[in-house]
Amino acid sequence: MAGFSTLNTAYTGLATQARRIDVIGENIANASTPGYRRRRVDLGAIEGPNGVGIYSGADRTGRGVEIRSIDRVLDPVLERHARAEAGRAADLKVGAEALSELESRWTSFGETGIAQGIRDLAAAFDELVNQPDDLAIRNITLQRAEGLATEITAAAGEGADVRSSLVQRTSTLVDRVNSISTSIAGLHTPIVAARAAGADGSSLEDRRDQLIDELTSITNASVLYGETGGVRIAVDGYSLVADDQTSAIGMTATPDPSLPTGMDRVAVTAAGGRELTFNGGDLAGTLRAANTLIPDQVRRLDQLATDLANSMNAIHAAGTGLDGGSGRNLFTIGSGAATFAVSTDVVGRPERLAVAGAAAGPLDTTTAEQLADLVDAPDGPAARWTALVADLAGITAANRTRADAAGDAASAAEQNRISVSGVSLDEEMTELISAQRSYEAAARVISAVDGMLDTLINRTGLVGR
Amino acid sequence: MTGRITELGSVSRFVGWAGSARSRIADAERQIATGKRHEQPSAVPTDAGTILQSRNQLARLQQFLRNQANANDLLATSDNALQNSTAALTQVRTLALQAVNGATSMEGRDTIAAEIRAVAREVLALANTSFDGRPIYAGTSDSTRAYDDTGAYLGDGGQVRRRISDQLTFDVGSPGPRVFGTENGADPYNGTVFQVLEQLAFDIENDNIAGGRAGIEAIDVASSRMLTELGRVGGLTNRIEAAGEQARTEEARLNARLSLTEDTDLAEAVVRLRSSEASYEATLAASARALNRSLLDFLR
Repeated sequence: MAGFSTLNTAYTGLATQARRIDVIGENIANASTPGYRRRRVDLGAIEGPNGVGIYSGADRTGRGVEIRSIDRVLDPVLERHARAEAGRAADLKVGAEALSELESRWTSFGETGIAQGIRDLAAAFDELVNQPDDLAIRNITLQRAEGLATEITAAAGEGADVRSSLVQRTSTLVDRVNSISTSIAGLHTPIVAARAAGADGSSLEDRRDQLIDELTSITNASVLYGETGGVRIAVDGYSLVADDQTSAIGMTATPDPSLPTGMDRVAVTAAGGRELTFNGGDLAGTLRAANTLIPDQVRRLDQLATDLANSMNAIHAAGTGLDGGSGRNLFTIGSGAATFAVSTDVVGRPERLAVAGAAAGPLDTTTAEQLADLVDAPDGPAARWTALVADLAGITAANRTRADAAGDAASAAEQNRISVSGVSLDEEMTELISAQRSYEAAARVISAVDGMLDTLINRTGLVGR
Repeated sequence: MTGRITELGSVSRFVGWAGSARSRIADAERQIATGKRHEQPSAVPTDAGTILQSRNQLARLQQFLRNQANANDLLATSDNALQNSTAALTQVRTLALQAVNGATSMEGRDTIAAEIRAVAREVLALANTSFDGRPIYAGTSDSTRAYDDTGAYLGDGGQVRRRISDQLTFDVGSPGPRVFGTENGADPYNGTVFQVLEQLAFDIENDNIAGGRAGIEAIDVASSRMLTELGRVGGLTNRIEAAGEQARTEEARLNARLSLTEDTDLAEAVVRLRSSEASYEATLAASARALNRSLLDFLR
């Protein structure tokens, strides 16, 4: 029977709808907040008292409405998919960017750089054939040789630069992982407490999920959510975060003979010193670029510079200078292209440049011809450099294509995630109307009960008066 | 595909579309401004090798063309010296004939001998003709002259080479002995042209008619030696010019190939710029409309 209990039922309606409007307001306010998962109020009817017996006197009507929970709307499968794709995209992106960077520093189609340095040197030797005794042209040839040496050492420097920025990046990422792990662990207690108390911990969980997003894009770690609100994050079997406990990772650099001179192999290690393997994420890409992609190219440059110096020296030493001396080197090289330089045998001494062949007239030009031809030979420095540039271009383009594809896949996965978890204003407006109308209707119920009680209290016994 | 359309989703989608439309415009603008189709080799990995190789070949070709011009100048100088030398010998021959026909007086013979000696000095000067500060008939010697004042050869027989193409290297030098004869102490008339002239002048001075006749024959031999060399120089000039012509054709071909692979097709780039601008504007207009629409517009 309708009475005071109905008033209470209507009141639960009022309170619940007011709360719904509250949540809708939050959703609307956060419609464009990145990482925000829309909230949904889960309503449930309050069961009436159980009336089993005939005389229990209870009716079967419910006692109103209650809020069971306020949930964040998300699809765990899509979440995991988006994270995996983001990790893969980050991995490939670093490699592609490092190669692009190296390429833009080393090569261009323009008339600069090592290619032009080699061409200029060959042209100078050709010119020496025309005028073997002209000191001005000898000087120009020496300057061209120094120009080429500058280009080669500059390229070696650029290579080392790109490499060291990758090492720097590794250390920054390791620090970032450790600080994110700490933040995630710090959120554990408040989230679990909120859950246990049935309070709304949604914004804390949003915050934690955003941190986890960042962590997985760096490490591609596996994430496991617990029933009570805890989370375990592990990479390569090493637990970064377990509820409120964290384990730090570190970075090591060890000398490796297979890498070019001056480069140490960088690795990310667990607390005990075990080396971690990443199967995706920014760190995986950074390590791959720092230990493989860039060193491979630098090694080729080193090899090219060494071969260039040795082959030119072999010819030059056999030739004779204007002063009759021979056995002099044109270039010197220690270990790696960074040490490539014009030999002190000839530097500043243009008359010592060997243009004439052995046992030939002083103005013979055999050696200069051989040097010019060497540069141009099918396996000479010009062709080798061209091959290096073409290969670098090919590798860069392939990496970029893969990174672009992974980036597209990642943004598609992110779109899917947003399409489930994002806020749609149209939906919220509809919900808002429904909540508002429910509220009004509940208020009408109260006034109806009020009217009934008025009739009962004030008008009883007045019939017919 | 996307089931629900959400605010964040549509914003990020529109931002992505507008961004890619914008970068297409930037690319078309860059192509038009720089005149180059691509900025980096990795934008065209398949053409990168070709472009660099063409540039290398082009640089070498340009050097070959310089070498060819240099060789032509040298040959022209040599040609000029040889022409003058043969003309001088013809002059000597006329004088010598005059002297040996018996009708010339003692004084006349002395004058003729003096004239022959003057011509000999002229020929010696011509034999010391230099090009780029280097005597052209001295081979690869670093001597500043090919012949000293006595007519002794200071040079060597080394080749003076010029690279005209990958395959062609020409010896553009003319070693002195080949042009002016080899010194012969015992028999001057079989020696250098300077020996011949000196002996001829001596014979004429001393009224040695037989010697004078032998001298005239020797001058004919010296002349024909020079003419042979002149012919060789002319032939070389032609061959070098032909090779140069080939190099120029090759240069034009390489330039065309480079231009084809790396230069912007301006008409295409402008059309692309127009169309990407149009698509950018359309994207902006579409997003402006779509992002403005919501249920809010229809509720009171």
